[in-house]
Amino acid sequence: MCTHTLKRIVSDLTYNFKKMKKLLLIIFAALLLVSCQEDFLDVAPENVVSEENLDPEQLVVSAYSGLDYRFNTGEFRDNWPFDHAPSNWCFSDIRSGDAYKGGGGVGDNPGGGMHALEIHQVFPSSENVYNLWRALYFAIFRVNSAIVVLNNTSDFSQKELRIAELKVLRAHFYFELMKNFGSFAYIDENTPVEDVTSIENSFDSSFLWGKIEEDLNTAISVLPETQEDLGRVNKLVAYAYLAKAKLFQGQWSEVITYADKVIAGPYRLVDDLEKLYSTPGYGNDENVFAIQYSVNDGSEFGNLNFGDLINSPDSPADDPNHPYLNGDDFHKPSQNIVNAFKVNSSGLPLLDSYNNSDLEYDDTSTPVDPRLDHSIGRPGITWKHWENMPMRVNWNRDVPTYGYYVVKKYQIDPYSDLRASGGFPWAKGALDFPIIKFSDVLLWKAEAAIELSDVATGMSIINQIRTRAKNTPRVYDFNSPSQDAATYSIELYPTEVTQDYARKALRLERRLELHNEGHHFYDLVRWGIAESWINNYMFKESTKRSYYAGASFTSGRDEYLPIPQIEIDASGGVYQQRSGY
Amino acid sequence: MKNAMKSLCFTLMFFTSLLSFAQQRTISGTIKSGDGEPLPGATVVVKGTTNGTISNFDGNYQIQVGQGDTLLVTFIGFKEVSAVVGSESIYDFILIEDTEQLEEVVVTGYAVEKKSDITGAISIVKTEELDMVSTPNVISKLQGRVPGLTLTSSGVPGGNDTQISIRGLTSVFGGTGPLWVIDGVQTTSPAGLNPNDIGSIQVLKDAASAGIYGTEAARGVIIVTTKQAESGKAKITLDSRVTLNTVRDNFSVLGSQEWLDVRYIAQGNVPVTAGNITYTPGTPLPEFLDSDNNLRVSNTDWINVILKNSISTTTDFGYSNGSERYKVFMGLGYSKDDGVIEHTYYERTNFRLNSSVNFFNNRLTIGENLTVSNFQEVKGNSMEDALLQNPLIPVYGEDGTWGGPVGAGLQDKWNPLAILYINRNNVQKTWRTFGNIYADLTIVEGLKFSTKLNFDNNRFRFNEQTEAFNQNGSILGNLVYLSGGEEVARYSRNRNNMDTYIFTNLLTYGRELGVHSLNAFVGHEVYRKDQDNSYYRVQVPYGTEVDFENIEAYDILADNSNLDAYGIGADSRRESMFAKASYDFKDKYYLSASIRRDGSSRFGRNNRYAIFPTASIGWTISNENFLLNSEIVNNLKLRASWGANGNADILEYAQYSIYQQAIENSNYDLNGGGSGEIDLGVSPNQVGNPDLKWEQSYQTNVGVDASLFNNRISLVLDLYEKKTSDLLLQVIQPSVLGEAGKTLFFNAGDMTNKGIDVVLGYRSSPQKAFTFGADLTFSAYENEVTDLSSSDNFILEGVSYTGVGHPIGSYFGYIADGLFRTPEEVAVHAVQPGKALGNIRYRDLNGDGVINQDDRTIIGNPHPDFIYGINLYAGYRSWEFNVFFDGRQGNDMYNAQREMLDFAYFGFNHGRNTLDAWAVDNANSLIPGLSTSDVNDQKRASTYFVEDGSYFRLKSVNIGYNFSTKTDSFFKKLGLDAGKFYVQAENLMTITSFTGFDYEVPGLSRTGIGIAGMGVYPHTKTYSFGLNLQF
Repeated sequence: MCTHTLKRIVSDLTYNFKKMKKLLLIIFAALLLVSCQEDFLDVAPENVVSEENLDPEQLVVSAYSGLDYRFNTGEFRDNWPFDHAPSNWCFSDIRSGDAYKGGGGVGDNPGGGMHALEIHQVFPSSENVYNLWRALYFAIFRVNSAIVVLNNTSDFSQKELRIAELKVLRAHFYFELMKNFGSFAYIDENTPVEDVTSIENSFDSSFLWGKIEEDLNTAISVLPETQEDLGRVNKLVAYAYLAKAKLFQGQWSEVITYADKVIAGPYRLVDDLEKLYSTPGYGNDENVFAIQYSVNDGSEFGNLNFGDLINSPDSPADDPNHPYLNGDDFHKPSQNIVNAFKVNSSGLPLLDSYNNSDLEYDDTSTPVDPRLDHSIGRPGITWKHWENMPMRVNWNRDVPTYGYYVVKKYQIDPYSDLRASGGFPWAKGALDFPIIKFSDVLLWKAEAAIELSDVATGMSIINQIRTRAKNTPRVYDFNSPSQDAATYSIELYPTEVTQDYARKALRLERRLELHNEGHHFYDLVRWGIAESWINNYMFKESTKRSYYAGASFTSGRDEYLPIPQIEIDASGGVYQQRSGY
Repeated sequence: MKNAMKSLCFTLMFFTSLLSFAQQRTISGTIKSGDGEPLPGATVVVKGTTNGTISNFDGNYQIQVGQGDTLLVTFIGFKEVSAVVGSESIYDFILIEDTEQLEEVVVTGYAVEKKSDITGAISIVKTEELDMVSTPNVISKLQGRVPGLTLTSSGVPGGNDTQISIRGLTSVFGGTGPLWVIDGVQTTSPAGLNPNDIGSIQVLKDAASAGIYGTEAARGVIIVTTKQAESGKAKITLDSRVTLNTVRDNFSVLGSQEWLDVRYIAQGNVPVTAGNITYTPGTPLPEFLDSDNNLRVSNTDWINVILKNSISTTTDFGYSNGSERYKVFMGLGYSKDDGVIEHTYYERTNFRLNSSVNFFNNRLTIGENLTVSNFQEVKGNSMEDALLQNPLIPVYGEDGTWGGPVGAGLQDKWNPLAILYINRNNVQKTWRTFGNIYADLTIVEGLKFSTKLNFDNNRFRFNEQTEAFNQNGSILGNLVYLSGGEEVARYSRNRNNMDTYIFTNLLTYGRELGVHSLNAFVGHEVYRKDQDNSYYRVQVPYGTEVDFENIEAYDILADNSNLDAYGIGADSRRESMFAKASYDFKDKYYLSASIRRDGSSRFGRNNRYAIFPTASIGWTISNENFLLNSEIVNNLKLRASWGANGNADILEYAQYSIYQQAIENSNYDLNGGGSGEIDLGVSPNQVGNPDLKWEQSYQTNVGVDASLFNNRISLVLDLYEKKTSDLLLQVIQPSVLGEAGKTLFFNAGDMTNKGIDVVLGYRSSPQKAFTFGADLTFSAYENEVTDLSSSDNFILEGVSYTGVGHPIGSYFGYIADGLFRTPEEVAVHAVQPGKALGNIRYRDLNGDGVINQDDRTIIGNPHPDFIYGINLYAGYRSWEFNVFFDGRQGNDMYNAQREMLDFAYFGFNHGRNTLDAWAVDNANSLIPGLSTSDVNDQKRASTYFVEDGSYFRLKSVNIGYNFSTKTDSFFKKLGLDAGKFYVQAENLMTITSFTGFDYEVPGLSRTGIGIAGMGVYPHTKTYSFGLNLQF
């Protein structure tokens, strides 16, 4: 019965199909028409750069661009790196006694963990730490991709030169990982793609330094002494980095060898510190290696130092509608660093006793090193030749918590035509941020000489630095521009001193010259005095800044940041945490 | 063509004559319903033949029959009646209403089936159920109505952020939403659809039902059919509703005095600085907060400031008319939903036209369905800002400008009301036009060719013109700049145009031959989606009225028109072939199978095509002889199905590696000039995977449908197991893979959902004046990730964990063992940096004496044990009552609000829990001691934040009065045929132990389920009055 009926249905259908052949043919022809376009399903992305139409030079540019830690991942933190700035202000300056975190109170914590960094209670869950790690590896990824593409390109004349530049950049990024984490997973252009995620982070510092030096040495053999483009790295940058790597390893004679290569080059100490700290381009003779920022370059705000954006002072009343400064007042010079500028009657620093008493914020009579008012804002003192007003107390957001001082370095001159548009982004513009300054290189050599017992060489270099500071135009009084704003005094050290004295002088001079530029913490660690110095500092500061009460630096742990927990988890356990975290 | 027609007629006549062999005579009669009304349009056929007729307007019929023939009388909604023809010439029939409406037809994939023939798991939502909820969004109306459906939403006006999943999460990638098929238009979003235009909704839950949609089916399919006209008299309807919306939940944080006191303790009894105030307990507060005496010290409840009661209205006008020849339905609707947050709203205007015309004796039908919808939204939500803004700050300063933080200690949040105010003109406008034109041609009896061109055109327009505002005398807003000495403002224009065309051709064959019934179709479909996106940012002199249509005329700062990659302006193509056949024997045994082959442009050439087969069987036991006339078992059917579905819900260009020229992120001033032209670079934007393929899911479903005791009790029960393999995954990658590393999609892992869906109903006898009934929907599922083939052993995104052996989206973290209450407890505890009295003690799970990453474990399961809905209804004469409860049981929620509100680490306002913080004299508190720094890392993911998210609530109450003009002549004079008034309330009462502000939070994906943050738009408690009129 069943089969019979089915047969009937089938025959019924066939019969009708035959009759309807013509119509069905038309229908199927129509169907085939739409389905037979072979490449109907090939939909390539429109208006984008893909592997096919890539210009390798653009990858090189993007690797340089990685220096400012801005990445377009669609996540806020990656485009606005102010909680993990390339200046290292939150990983060095606020951890080393140069500065307080600042902002609107202890709880004002971009990234959620700045206060933890400041009191040395950092957890592997820290967003700031994660963001730093991310930024560095994102940049390393760009470098490696660019080298891979260049290696596969045959018709590109600058190929070897560009690869050499990229290797210096890579050394820079790994150096940053080394300073901050003391550990990293080394990946280069030769690492097979499938192995990238299975490479462990190494804690073997001689291996890691070896990798950094290898890149630098390779680059030195190719790079020219100068490049037409000021922003590109040259042979001297590579030598400087090599000297710095040796410095961190305590290989003093190599430090001198490589530092001398740089010193023999065209770099020099510029003659006006005020301009060095305020005027775009002025530092080109002194900046061996700087992150290049720019304005009016087609981007919305400019390619600016967004990492230090929130470090502009808060000045609500200066020009309410179009404030030159209306920042968040982070990164505030500590009382300790201000005290360090006090000088004795011979115009020399109080090497052992500077922190025994505080220089009051409105004290203009106690003699101080003139660099103080170039680099640190004090209420009542002229602000970068600004005619509207001197710095005021209310530029500080939270005086009871963080005191009266603001960072004056690397806030652009208010009259600069390379300033970003009025209002946001505050006091920013095309002012480059120095990674390696000539003064830094000089002081490396001085340090190496002193450690090698060549005290005289060391002290004369320190005096070279001091001479520039002595001769630089002084900050003038706002109301009587013919007079100095405070009592300034700076003189040269005697050159015949003990090694111990020379070492103290060197270490303090590094702070006076380079404070709040992301150096001091790493210096303390490599000098092996981080624990004692920082614990002393926090104990003393806790009488002025109550939030330091009970804070302590744990030796063997707090010298380096934890490996971010998110990275360990994402690696599926390939990465190992530092002990103690 | 003409010949073909002729031969068709010939064939028909041939069969008819073959089958009518006996002596013929004419009989007649009347067909009436149980209450004595004549039934026009009932079908009378001689059983086993094609000889039949239809009753006329008075219920009368005439037919030629032979002695001994069986007459079969059928009418939709009534039970079939039969009679053997004897010697009489008049046969009257009384049809009894079939309360189960088994003959109800259901729109399934590409076909219409009788409900009684269905072998899969399909839930039907009745339109009157949709009316019970007042939101203008159709998704929100489905909550609690369909077992197996999970909804999450915030209370945003229009409900457009509602997320939905069918039978648990099947994909680990974010996309979980089902496929919507609106009159054949396949889309991922029902935005713009007017719920009042909906004729019926079917939810295809099992793989066999959904499988005909192939690659898009794994997440389930919701089929919406809009209203069509019926033959007969012209009908005009008017529906109108007005709703009062109030905030449902209590959002309460500290007042000024409380904040100062909490702050004081948290700082270790150090005076609190707030603006110009230096506070120590006992000192009176000054009159002003600032030195300029502009900000009066206040006790502002910022939540109260930005929230309000609001009114929503919905008005719909409908016209339908039809004859044998044509049908027209027209709808015009307007809906406005004012948000409970100030300066937010959703407004929608709809036009619908559905029409069809028949030609050649109904052999050809040509028709169209068209929806034109315009919706406008102002989205804004400053809930988080309002919760955290300092209560000392007044809303307005003495000078009339907005009040905001000034000086130290008050943080830097802008005035939350000002933020909403300056956003009030940022209207996001969408025009959506979708629908289809179609032609159905009956080639021969049972064989039909249908062609349908579906279109969906979406035009998004967003002119962003956020204003500047004056707070404490300073002009704020990111949009005022000084450029070359001139004040400028910056605005942006965003346009997105999306056109989708789906061209479907179907050949269907359906034939009933005696006890056999066969239905089959084959089809071909082409899908094409094109998108264009353009984005401009311009700079204009402050105060310029910008003509956004001529944006090129202004100073253009950014033109991201070229950034079409990364899914924004993506194009897509799909080509599909499919076939389905179903057969049933004697309405007892059912067999059905389908197959679909899809090719998609989203996948690389190697994996472009995939085939999805399905099969199902059914057995209607109640049609067996031994149950045929049972009083107890009226209907009993067993169903089983199996099938494969696909999921291709990834970015369009996931197979390609893409670089981007991002002017701020890849360019660099290499020449060091600091200004002007800059070297252009490219950065990786997306890492492609050319080997990417479908995610497949295989689902087995076993179900039973039953009606018992004179159809008083009904039961639909389904058990299922859904296995997804080749999970499409995109995860947090180690940073060594670069900034685009996380964009990499790959196929990794398997997952299983097992569950049960039940609908149990009771209804009283419909004959009585007082009727009542109840429906219970119940569903439960268990989710487990069964394999992760990537190198990672688990994937963690925030607190959300995906790992083998655990439900997707589980919470992962430390176990908080209460607080340290004695110095001894602190002393004996494992090494835990920051351990101290009053701080949280974390459990040393592995017993190694150190609290570290290895002490983390699964700390919560966000999936409920079950969810349910209870619908109780009653009717008395013209009155109807409806009460609907729904609930969720046994799910964990992660109360992330407490990360900010329970601790005083941040300088913002704090939650009320801080008033009960641990202290020496409050030693039994469960809230950690106050501090300004988190030295114990207490914000880390831990059980401290995990709470039971179960709730039971009175979702809606509804009272209606129906009147018809037969009993009320006054209305009849107005031309009114019938009408209904109703009042309705929603969310009147909830029982939950969850302590967060709102137990309903958005989030239905691997990266976060049940995570309660602070920025969620509040839900509402509503009171509505409405009326429906028919003319």
